[in-house]
Amino acid sequence: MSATTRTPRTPGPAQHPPQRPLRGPLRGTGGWARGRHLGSVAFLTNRVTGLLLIGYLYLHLGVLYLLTEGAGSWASVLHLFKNHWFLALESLLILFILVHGLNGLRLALVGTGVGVRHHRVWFTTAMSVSAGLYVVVVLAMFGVI
Amino acid sequence: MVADLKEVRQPSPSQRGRGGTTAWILQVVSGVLLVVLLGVHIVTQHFVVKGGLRDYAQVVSYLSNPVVLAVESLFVVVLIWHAMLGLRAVLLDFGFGRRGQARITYGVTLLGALTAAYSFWLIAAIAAKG
Repeated sequence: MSATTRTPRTPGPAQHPPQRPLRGPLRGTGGWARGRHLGSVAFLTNRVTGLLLIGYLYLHLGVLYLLTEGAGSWASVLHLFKNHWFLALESLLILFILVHGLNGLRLALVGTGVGVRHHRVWFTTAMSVSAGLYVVVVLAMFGVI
Repeated sequence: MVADLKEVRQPSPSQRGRGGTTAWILQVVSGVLLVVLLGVHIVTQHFVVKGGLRDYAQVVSYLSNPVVLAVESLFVVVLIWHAMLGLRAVLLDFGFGRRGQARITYGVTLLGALTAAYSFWLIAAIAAKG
C-alpha cells in the first residue's frame, strides 16, 4: 500500500448531535441526566412520585380497614408504625409528597405560561424547599424537635 | 426556554382535538386543593396527637366530629380525583388509539368510583363506632 492510497474508512458509529455542556443544577451529574433538559427531569420526577403515591394510597386504605375490626387490630398495627425503620419509610413518603406537590405547583404555573423563562429557578426552589421541610419533618417524626 | 414547535412531536390523528385541556385544568385545580387538604390531613393526624399516631379511641372520637367528617370526605374525593386524572394522563401518554383512550378513561373512572365508595364506607364504619 503506497503512502498516497488510503483504505476506505469503515463507517463509524452514527454521528450524534454535539451535546450541549450541562448548566445549572444538572452540571456534574453526567450519566443518565446528560443531554436531558431539567424540565424533562422535573416532569419525570412528578410522574414517578405520583405513581408511588397512588401505590401508597391503596396501601393506606387497606391498613385503615383494621380500624373496622376493633381496638386490638389497630393497636397491633400501631406498634409496627412506631418502629424506627417504619418511620424512616414514612419519612420517604413525606419527601415524595413534598416533591410531587411543590413540583406540581411549578408545573401548574409554567403550564399556564407564568414564569416559563424561570422554570429552572422554580424547580431548584421547589426542590430546596422540599429538602428543608423534609429535614424539619424527619426531626419532628423522630422527636428531636 | 421557548419550545421549538417543529421539534415538538405532534399528537397522532386519533389524539388530535382531544388534547385533554379540561382534564389538565381539573388536575391543576385538584392539585392546588390537595396542597391545603393534604396539609390539614397530615398535620391533624400526625402532629396534633402526642406521639403522632392516634389510637383506636382517638380515631373514632376524631371522626365523630361532623366538621372533621366533612373535611376528610372532601379530602378523599379530591385526592382520588387527582390520582385518577394523573393515572389516566400517564396511561394516555403511551399513545393508545381512540378506543384505547376511551377504555382507559372508563377504567380509571371505575377504579376511582370503587375507591371512593370503599373510602366512604370506611369513614362511615369508623364514625359509626363513636
